[in-house]
Amino acid sequence: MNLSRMKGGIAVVAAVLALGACDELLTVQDPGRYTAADLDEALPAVANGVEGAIHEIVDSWVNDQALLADVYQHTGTWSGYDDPDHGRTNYNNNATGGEQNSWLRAQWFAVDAEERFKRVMGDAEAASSPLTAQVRLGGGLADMLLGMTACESVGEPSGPLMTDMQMLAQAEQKLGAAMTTAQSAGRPEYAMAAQAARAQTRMLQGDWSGAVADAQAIPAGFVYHAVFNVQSTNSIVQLTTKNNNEAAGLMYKWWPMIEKSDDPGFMMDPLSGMPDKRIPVYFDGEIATDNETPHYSQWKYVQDTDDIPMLHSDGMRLIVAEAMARSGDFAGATGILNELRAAVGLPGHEVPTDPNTMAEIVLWERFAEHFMEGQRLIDLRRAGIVRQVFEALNDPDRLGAGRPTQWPMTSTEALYNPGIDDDLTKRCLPTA
Amino acid sequence: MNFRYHPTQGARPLSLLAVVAAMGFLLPAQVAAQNGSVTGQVTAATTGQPINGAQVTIMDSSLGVLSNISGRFLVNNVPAGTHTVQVVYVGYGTATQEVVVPPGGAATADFALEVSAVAMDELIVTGTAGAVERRKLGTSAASLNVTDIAEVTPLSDFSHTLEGRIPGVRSIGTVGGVGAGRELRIRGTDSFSLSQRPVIYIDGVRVDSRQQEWGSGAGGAWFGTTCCAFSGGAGEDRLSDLNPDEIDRVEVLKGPAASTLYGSEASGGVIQIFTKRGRSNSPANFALTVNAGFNRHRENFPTSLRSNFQGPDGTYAWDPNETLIENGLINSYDLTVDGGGEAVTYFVSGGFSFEEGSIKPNDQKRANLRVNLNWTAGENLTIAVNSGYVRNRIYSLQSGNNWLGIYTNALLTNPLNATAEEPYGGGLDVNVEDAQAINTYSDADRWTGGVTLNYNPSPDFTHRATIGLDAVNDQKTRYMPFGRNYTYIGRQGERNIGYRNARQFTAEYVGNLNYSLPAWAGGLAGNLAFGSQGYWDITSYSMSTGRGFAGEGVTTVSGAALTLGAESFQEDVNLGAFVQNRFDFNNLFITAAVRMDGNSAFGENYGFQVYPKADVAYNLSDNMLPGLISSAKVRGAVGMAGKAPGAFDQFQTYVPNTVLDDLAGVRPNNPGNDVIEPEVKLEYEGGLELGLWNDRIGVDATYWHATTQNALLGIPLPPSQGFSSSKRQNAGSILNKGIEVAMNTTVLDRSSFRWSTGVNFEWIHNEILDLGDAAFPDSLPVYGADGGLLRWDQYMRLGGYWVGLPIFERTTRVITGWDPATRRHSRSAYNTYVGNEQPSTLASFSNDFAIGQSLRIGVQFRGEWGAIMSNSDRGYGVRQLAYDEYLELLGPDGSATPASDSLLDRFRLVYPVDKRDHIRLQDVSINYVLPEGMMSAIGLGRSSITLAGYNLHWWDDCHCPDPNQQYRGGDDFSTSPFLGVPQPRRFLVSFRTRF
Repeated sequence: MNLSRMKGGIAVVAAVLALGACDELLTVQDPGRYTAADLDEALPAVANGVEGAIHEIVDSWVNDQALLADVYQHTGTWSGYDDPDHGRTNYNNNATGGEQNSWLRAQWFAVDAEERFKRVMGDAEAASSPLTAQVRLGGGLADMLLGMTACESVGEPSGPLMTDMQMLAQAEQKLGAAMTTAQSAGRPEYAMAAQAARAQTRMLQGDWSGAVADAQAIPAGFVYHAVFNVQSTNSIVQLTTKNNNEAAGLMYKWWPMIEKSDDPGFMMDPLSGMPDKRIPVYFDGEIATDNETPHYSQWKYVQDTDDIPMLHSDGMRLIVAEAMARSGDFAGATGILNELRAAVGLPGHEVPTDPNTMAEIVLWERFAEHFMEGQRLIDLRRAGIVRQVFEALNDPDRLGAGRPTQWPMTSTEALYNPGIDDDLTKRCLPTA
Repeated sequence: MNFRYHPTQGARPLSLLAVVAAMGFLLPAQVAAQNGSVTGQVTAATTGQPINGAQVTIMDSSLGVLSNISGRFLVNNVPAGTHTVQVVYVGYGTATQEVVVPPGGAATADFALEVSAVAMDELIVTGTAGAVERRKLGTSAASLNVTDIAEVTPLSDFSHTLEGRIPGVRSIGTVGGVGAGRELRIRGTDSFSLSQRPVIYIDGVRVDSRQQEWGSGAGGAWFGTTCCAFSGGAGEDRLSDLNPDEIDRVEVLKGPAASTLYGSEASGGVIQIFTKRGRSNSPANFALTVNAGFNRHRENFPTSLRSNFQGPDGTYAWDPNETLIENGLINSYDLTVDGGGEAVTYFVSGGFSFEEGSIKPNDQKRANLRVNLNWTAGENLTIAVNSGYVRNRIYSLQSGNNWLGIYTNALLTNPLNATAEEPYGGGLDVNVEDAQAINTYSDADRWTGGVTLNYNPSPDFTHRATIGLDAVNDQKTRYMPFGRNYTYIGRQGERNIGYRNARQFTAEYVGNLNYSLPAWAGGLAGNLAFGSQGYWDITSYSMSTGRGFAGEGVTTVSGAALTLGAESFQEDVNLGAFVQNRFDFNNLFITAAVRMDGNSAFGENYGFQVYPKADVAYNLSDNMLPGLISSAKVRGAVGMAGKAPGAFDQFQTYVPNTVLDDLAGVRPNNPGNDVIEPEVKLEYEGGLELGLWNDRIGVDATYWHATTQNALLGIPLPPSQGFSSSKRQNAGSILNKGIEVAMNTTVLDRSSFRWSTGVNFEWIHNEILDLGDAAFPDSLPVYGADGGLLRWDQYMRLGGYWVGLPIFERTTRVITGWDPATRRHSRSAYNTYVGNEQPSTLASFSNDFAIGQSLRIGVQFRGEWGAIMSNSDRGYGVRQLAYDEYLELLGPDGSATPASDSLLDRFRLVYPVDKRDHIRLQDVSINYVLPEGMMSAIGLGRSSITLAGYNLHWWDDCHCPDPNQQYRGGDDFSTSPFLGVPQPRRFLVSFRTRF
């Protein structure tokens, strides 16, 4: 064989080898991500992921709820906080869009996870699996939080619109299923959380008897937290500090009830003038990032891994008390509220004689017990007093009339869900 | 599907090499002959000055050399007989001479070149498959002789080299920190989501040219670092690794019409950097360059009134113009030596530079070492080995969208809060002194090298093969000292240390065959080129964080109470093959080519991508031209090139995360797209290159029109579909079109005075043509100057984009009214379109005056028009009660007035929109060649001193320190100034000598 023939042969062989190697050449791998198939081998992580997805955004939700209610005011310069503080929320600047998106994704992931469990474990085993209970709880909580937050949302992947009440009803159903599964799986903590959540959804739907039945089943000392860790930190602690451009502090209406001090303290109880240990606050006299507003900090969450109570036995007792108040049992209601006050060393209320006073007491005690837990805006809306509360401020920057009382649905879902009319002017935005 | 990472996988480079080999590279055959040589000198006809670096070629052979500093050249191994010698040098007319080379003897040919503004015989290499004279090109490829520029203007970095010098190339300084990112963009914005920076090659090796922050957010992970950006968003520009003193010339392909042969990475253009090389038969030529000077910001920060105000303890507030701006020293030393013998030439360069920013702490220490060798291994074989090493240590400036920014915290404070301890007023987020105490470093080792083999069995059949590697090891560290107060972490301190390891392997083979068809076939001459090219990019990131020290003294991650870590990884492989044919019909040259690519980022079910091209160049003969026009070329080209999707866009993935009480969790992340395609850009262009008045005036005008098809857009899924990332889809179509005109001339050319001038002009239009089926009809309101609603404009919309508007459209709410009763403004409920954030018109005007034999003065202006910005800094500064615009409205005692309250209310509701239009005095240099006698007395050759100023002044109406401010550098989709530090002015004294 002469030299040129040999070279030609080598070239042909090299070409064949190269083409044969193309498949491998053009295949890459991402070692930092899981595939759908991988998850079949990681079912606990799937269940944890569903529940964790609910928790890790609760901090932002609490911030936003506080800003649109009368709890917080913006003390920095970030428009994302400035707008809800001043009631300028609409579809284009919906602060809770991210939170709603997260819960909608968790809603999908819960359904996907349950189907995965059935496929991997088999229907029978999955039906009584703690993992199924966990994801059903997660799915129920996602629906509950969506119902508590937005005036409308969707309840299934790219599904049709549901009102907040329909969403809460769906949550109630899912939470009931979660209870059942958790009990059969021998996981009472999931069952209890699901029942406490169901109590709340029933209350918000006006089903007081159902709410009371569930609430009374929750033992004293029960707390279900949104859990934070060093990766997913509680942003309330950092974002609303005085030297952050997203700073937010307690609204000026509360300032007279907070003393300046070099050390953290508590808001004064309006009834007794004593410090209310349910409302930890801190004001050291310094102004916030906007260079002009005194910054009164919440001090309930101090470490960025501090958990946020989502459901707790004291909250359940408030449900029972409110149910009594609504039914005219002022003494019974006041009795429960006074027990809660006594637990933090505060004197009790006199039993009121008129419903308005009773409602004011319930509202205050809910403010104190649920301080920085995201409930205040919902309470003001339920009581129908958002406009009244803000008009009382006589503040041209925070007008009562027209102030949103609830958040619009996430524009991301509205725009990209083919089942929803993407004309945002047709979406609901309840205002005072 | 399984795509786990197997670190031991090692077959890829071998496979790439196999592909290269498969394209037919053949070993040389030895041929002997009785040869002679050609020698001579090249000078400028008018001045008699020797010309350094002129290309001397023995026609009809592959022999050629460059003239040396004295203009002399020697070409050996020239076959005995009659030959034509051609000399080409940019800025001068081509000259030829016929010589007779005696066997074993030498022929002499001296050349006196006439000034010419037209360079039709200049050789272009990039994108042409082989070296081609410009006259044969149907595209508007541009080239810069960096060696020449550097003779007169000290170049601070590679990007500076391009600034204002090539129409269509926008290279501007956007961030003022030394070593920080700059914007480098060619012919506008052609993608919704992929990098805008052109691909960069050095001597045929594809290199890392990223400029964006990676210390946080890279790969979608925050890496556990405290909050936001590592140093403000711009990061360190890897192009700042390059030492301009090593660069000989640069070629720029502006778009697919020219860059088709680069395939799936070239739609944004290609820049090839050629480093310097030695000259054969030349003694060692040493060159030393010493620069000294300083950076200094203009004192135009909007805080000049602050020093009129006192804080509560009587302290007068500090004005950052007076206290933050300092002189940042510059020192650099470069020593090069080049030369060579018969078979081997060399270029060796060593450089060190130290440069401080004008706001401190911020500096850059860079050491470069380059060795370029050429070995003529045989009559037909040359081997070039290039090796460049750099150590680039940048003490990064904390700036930009960053709560640790020094500039941020100095400017955005209320002077009425100034105290003796915090004289700026306390800082926005942290005290300025605490921000300055942070140590933030990028410390990069980089090696870029390659081997190129040229095998020319005959002048008409050549082969070139290149393999190369660009390896970057970048370590980033940040330390926030214990005891100082930082938002988010308090006084506990934090340490971050991360690594980015990037490897880019390149392998390329190109074969060229010049042919003449038989007479019966018309005798047509032409060139057939074929080849293949592959690259393999792998980048890994890691970052560890330690937070919470017990006290001072320990600064390691492991010494902190809380430690966190993260890593991410990317890999991209591309393999392409091409074939190109050019027909030469006397003055008409027609080229057609096609390239086919496979890429690991293409969807699993997509396959290969084909990119065709064609161009035509017609050089009008003398008898066709009127007297005024001395030469003319008409050209036209059409071509396609692409941009590959993100490395892992095709995969559906779930991301691990830590949930609940530190448990392992996962969540849906990327929905994936297994049919994802590359973006494909189709460009056509037509141009006219004219030489007027005996080629004293050169005009190069191009109209180009480029449409990006299958533009990749991240289309959000409804959240109820579960996945958090947008689905990257080929959804849109983007139009860019423009006009580029370059005119240069030597106005006067006397032995005692020469004035050369050049004008570059560029107009560009960007528009979204289509957003695919997922777009939906929407409308944008248009408001009048009085805030009244004029109309609603209808558009198709998807994501943040609107069909019919540019990619960088800016929409915002506008002020719609004023209520005198409440003294409050009202704003529109909807955003309205207010303008484009990229300029539509760019121009530069440069002048070079040579006075006598010794003095040269260079002046360059550049300007931009048509862009607006959402002036967040201005609004922010007012909202913080900090900027002059607000302070000047306060009462004498610093109290608020109705006017100041009105301004505050206005900027709390909307950010102002301002124009970026400006004209900038970019470069001024005065170069003096020291007397030859004086220098030779101390053993030095040609020596010169240069006084130079860069970025000296600008005229604008932007209500901002610098209309080019962009805190992330600008190569991506952010044009926000957002507290990015503006570019400083730069003053230098430079001494260059040879010996």
